[in-house]
Amino acid sequence: MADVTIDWDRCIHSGMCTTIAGNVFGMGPDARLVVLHPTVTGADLDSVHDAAACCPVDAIAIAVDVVAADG
Amino acid sequence: MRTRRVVVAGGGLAAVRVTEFLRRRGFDGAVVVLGDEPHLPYDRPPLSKDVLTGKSRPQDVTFKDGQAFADLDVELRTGCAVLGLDPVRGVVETVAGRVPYDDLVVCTGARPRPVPWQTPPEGVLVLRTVDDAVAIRAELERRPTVVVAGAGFVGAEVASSARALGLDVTVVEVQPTPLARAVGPLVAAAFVSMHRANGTDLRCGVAVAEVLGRERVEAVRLTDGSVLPCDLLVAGLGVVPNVEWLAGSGLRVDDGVVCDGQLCAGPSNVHAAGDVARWTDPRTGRSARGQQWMVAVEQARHVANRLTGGAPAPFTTGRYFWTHQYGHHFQFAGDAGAREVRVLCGALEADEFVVGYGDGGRLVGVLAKNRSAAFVRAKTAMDRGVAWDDVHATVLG
Ligand SMILES: Cc1cc2nc3c(=O)[nH]c(=O)nc-3n(C[C@H](O)[C@H](O)[C@H](O)COP(=O)(O)OP(=O)(O)OC[C@H]3O[C@@H](n4cnc5c(N)ncnc54)[C@H](O)[C@@H]3O)c2cc1C
Ligand code: SF4
Repeated sequence: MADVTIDWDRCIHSGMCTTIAGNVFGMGPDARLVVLHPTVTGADLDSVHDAAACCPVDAIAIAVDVVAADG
Repeated sequence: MRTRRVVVAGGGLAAVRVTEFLRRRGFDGAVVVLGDEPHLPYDRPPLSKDVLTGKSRPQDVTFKDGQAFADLDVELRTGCAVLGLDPVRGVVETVAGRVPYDDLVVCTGARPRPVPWQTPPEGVLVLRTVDDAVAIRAELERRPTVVVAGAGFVGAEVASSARALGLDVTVVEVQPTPLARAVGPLVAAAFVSMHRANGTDLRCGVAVAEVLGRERVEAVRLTDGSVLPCDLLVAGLGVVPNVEWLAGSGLRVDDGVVCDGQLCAGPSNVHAAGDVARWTDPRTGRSARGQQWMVAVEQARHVANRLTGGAPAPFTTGRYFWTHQYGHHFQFAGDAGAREVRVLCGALEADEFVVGYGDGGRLVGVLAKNRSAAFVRAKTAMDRGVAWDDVHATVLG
């Protein structure tokens, strides 16, 4: 399990994260980019890691929940 | 005991991402990165933007510290130029001896095209490395009159950064319109007027014919005979791939290392990623060499998938690209050179617009100036295969 955040001061709205991990990143009701599901598990975690590597400005932070990861 | 050893030749963006994707996909063999630069791997896009203006320091652009490589169990050798390849024995030759591999990934990138003029020892510079950026930054601090040769993306960003510092800037571009091939003539005109509106003297259809000055550049003479006095000349004449070390290896080299649609460079255990790789894009049928950040990352991801047993799908790219000029944020995706062009919102002469490119009844390319949310909407619609006639409604609705 991990918590995902975007550093909005860095984000240049490339939309890459929505393309790669559309379950987690997407458009909010006001048509702005949002983290749809900040707490990520399972297969989504892999796609979130790929999205972070593809973010051109390194704006995606993934904080792995150590307790859950160990358990 | 370790089963396999992946060697990555080159130490830039593609190299770093290959190692990260490999580990993420559970590869537990040895990973060795051989980069010729003395520095930790770093990111190039900030060099022409915030590093030149002084907003970022050179040390801010490294991807991560040495410990982070160790944590991933990646052996990073800096200052280690690769000199040759023997694909039959599976060995690369380096300045520090031979390195055997089971799989090799070629990520040696590209370097600036050499300038075609006789030049004085000082005041004529190119921009590719962090050392180049530090040298240009030092020159800019002396408040020179600047000439930039070439109005491609790097040249335009250098001009924009120099203008942000309040310097006198002239850009010399040999084509009648810069970027016409990249974005189409209609949109290219918007880039021309942006340069001029921001006080850059853009001269198109002429080239630098001669560089004047004995110790340091004093002026350039253009092909139309005019002479522009200057204290700094930055050349942005495009790049050439770093492939010389592959001579005699038997790998096919033709303006890049020639790969199949899977990014395999001949022998089944040699792949390539990044600015050095030439491959045939299945979408267009054209042979291409990426020169964009995102293409390098997508290729690194594809190669890591291949090396970890992923299904043999052909490499495809969304061809995303961004550039920052005169405080404006531009983003492209897809084929921004397609012939049918529609302004979807804003206006080409304004500070905000989104342009769609159409082909065969589909939206195939998107370019936006400062309209990020609309850009993401249009790109998503494009990925879903939206019809050209429905584009307006989808993007604006
Ligand atoms: C100033 C600048 C600004 C840019 N801005 C943008 C932008 O805004 N948007 C965008 O999309 N793209 C931009 N790019 C392009 C982007 O940075 C490149 O596409 C990307 O760096 C390609 O990565 P790479 O790993 O293939 O090559 P490189 O980054 O060139 O890395 C290759 C590395 O391998 C090393 N090497 C070469 N030969 C050898 C050898 N024989 N042995 C060992 N090591 C070797 C090189 O020294 C280098 O360190 C910019 C590029 C520059 C230079
Ligand atoms: S990939 Fe990065 S820059 Fe692009 S929209 Fe997502 S967070 Fe922003």
